[in-house]
Amino acid sequence: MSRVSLILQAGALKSYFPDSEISRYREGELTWVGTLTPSHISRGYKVRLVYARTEGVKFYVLEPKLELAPGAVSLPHVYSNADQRICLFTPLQGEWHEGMYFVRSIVPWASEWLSHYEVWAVTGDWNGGGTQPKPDSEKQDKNT
Amino acid sequence: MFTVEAKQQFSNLLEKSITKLDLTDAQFEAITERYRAVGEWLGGEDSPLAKYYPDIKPQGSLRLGTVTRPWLRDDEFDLDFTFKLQIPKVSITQYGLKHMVGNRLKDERSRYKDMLGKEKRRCWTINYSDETKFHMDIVPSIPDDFTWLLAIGVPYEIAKHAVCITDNEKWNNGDDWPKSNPEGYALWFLDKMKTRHLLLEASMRKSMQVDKVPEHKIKTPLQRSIQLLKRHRDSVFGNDKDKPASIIITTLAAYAYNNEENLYDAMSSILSKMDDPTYLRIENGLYVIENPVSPSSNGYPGENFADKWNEKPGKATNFFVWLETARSYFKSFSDMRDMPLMAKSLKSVIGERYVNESLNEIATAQKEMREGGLLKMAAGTGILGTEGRAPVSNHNFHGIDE
Repeated sequence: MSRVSLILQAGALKSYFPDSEISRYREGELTWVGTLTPSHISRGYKVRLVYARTEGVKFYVLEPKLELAPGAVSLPHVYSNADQRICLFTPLQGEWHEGMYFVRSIVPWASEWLSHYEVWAVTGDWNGGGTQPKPDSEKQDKNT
Repeated sequence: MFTVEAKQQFSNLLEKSITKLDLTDAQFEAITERYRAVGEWLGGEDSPLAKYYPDIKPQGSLRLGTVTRPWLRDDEFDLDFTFKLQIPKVSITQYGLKHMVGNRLKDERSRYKDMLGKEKRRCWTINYSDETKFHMDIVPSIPDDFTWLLAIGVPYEIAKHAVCITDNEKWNNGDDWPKSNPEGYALWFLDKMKTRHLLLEASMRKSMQVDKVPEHKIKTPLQRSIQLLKRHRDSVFGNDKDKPASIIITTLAAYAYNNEENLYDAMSSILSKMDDPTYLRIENGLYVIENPVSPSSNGYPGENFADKWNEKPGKATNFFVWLETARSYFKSFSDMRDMPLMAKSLKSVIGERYVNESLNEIATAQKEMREGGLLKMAAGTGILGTEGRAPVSNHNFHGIDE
């Protein structure tokens, strides 16, 4: 599938989330900062999507600082606890590619992550599925 | 304040969590089987009681569908049954009736002879020492002559269930038989939620595609509210014997219920109207909460559920303090806007494992919706649900252990 240009990505993000902020640098980089509320009884989470042609797409929860489930030492499905950089798809399986709109892939996945995070924070159980590989596969995750 | 959708979502979480306080299906089946076995032993062909047309029936919370798990996990469910014999009051004494039933339970060949607890004022207790964790209180009774009830305006359909029971602390005083009508009360209670019950039953029949839904599977917001209120009471008072009585909570809640469709609205309505002076009255300086099927009239005092409040004012104080606590507890959720915070607060009343199980089930169902292509995200907010501009396509959460 052909790549969705960043001007189209930006337009779609603004259309879906009119109150969000987008900055774009030509066809190479895009940053989106918005608020996601995964359910009617959830708080809003300030989030940032960063895309760079050379590095792929990364997704961060900016605020609040996420609490851990009782007894947990780390957040589930993240690349970095400190940066609250969350893992939304399995890169090697090509679940995300540049032919996909952020608003119909990464962003809903992030909202879903937040929804499962909220339950995890209370129960300690992650019900969202997926895989949690060991750190030695980190080097393969260039695309996320 | 809650939006309409937030209210619905919270209501669903609440309902799911309260469902965990029900008897399990296995417990319900074991109890049904066992009380029928007791009925068979007491009243079967071989029993000397057979000639009195014996009948055993659940009463109290089991009959009303408001059984609520005991506060401590190791405590037992306490379930009450009426055992009725067709014997005229003039032909038997209270002592005679109590021991006629007791002797059959203690018979040489009775499997219950070693399961009987200490004799209680009005009943015999059968203990089951196993996983089902419950004991059965059997209340011996005979029919009451209910013409006096008809005379004070109690409908025939309710009055005809009136019974006389026994009280071993008072039967030597020459007092008349204590009167009771648990089945009449149950019919009054069920009538208070009839509209909602019928609607629920119809929708369950349709969604389950069956002709008949078991009665105990249909729970109206009134029944759920009473379970939640009793649980909240237990969270405040534990096993304090002066805690607000279940019969008082049940009666006032049933009066206040207006067949609301969702649990949140039912709870709001009940909590705001539970101390309505129409039903919780003060007459001549005394508290009165009338038994709806044994009202006072024409000089007959009726049954006052608040009698003990007047003997022990601490009980009244406990009720009013509890009601205020329950009101502010319930109201606090509408301003939280934070799911984990709500869940923690729910845990403190409903119990950690039950809230956890409910949340995990809800989250798993959401994952299955996404896998089935049914989950969507609303534009502007990111709220997930069956409606929304963006479909949530399939993917696998990934990650590393740091």
